[in-house]
Amino acid sequence: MASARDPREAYLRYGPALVRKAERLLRNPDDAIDLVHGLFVDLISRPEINVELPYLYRAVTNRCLNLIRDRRGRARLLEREQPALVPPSRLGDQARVIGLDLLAKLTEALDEDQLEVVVCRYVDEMTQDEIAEHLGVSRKTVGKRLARAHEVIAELVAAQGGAA
Amino acid sequence: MSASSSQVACIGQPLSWLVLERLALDELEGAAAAAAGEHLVACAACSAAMGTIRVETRVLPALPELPSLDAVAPVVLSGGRAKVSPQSKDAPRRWTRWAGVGVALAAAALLLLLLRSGPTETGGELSQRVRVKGAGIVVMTLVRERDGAVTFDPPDVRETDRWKVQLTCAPGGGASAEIVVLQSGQAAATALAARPFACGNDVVLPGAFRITGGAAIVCAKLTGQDERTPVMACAKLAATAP
Ligand SMILES: [Zn+2]
Repeated sequence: MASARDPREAYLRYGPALVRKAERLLRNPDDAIDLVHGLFVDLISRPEINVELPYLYRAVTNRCLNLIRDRRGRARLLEREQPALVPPSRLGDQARVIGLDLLAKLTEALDEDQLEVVVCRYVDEMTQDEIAEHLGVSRKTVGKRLARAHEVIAELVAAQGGAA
Repeated sequence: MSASSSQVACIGQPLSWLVLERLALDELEGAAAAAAGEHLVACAACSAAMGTIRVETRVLPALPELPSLDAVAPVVLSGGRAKVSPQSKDAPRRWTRWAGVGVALAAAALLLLLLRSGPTETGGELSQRVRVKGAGIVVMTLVRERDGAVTFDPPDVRETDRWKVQLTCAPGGGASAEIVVLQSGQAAATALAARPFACGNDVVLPGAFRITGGAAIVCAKLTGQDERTPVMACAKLAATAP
């Protein structure tokens, strides 16, 4: 088992995985690559920061959400959205399609912790136990955050007339 | 749930993308790796997801050679003439290759152009909105990335910020754009090399840059079709403490 020791090595090793992840959220390859590149340009000037893949996964989530939260960044993403890039969910009956439009609305209705749980569950397809470990919180906390997110998603979907 | 999604559903709890990526990188520990391997054998959906990771190759842009913000080689303007400052001899140069008097004079000329020619619609004041032959009204937007947060047209600059530039003009037009950074006591430095662009909404110029040395004026040097003299769209940035 190997892992990256510094940001440059981590970029080579984890860059593609992180671009895939960013692409599932941003839904276009150019912005995904740009976001990951930007993350590592920052990281190389802060060598003290953890460059393990789970940490970097969270960093990419947060950067994507910041971009989507920003009104103009979001408008540009929506223009460039390529939904076909996103692999179909493997969650079966539990799947919820968290497209850019819905995610943008969620950024206005949920706090950062709740949003991160939504991404872990429906975009990264983690189990609740895995989310708890990934975020360093209890399983119960994950459940509460997801429950709140489900309420908001249901409200948003109802407001759209059932089309999510 | 749609019919198509039922065909790709996992037989139980899917292996998350993070687990799949770590498995592909050989970073999962023994028991976890074994459990994931067993699941992949049994589950077509997760196995297919793993397949997409294994077949995919990505080419990512290179990281800058140096993480520091010494990209703008300091060239000091004094009394209307330019000279290379002592510290610039040792300063690594990443984006710019300013060297010698010719470049310094070009920088001085650029500053003069900016300060004297009233290049903007508002008659001499710095403006991000200018008229360019062949492109019509062009609006420059600075995009700052700071600690992961993106801000459009922010008021200030910090050395760790990453910058990009967007231009907006009516589709159908076009011009050439070079992005330069002007700072007190220093020559203009090219942050993004001149290249043509086609008008549209928030057209992002390729490349990103950093700004060293505090307060700055960032300008898009826009050269219209068949024009020799560029028009400058500029924005001022105040310095912030790191
Ligand atoms: Zn599965």
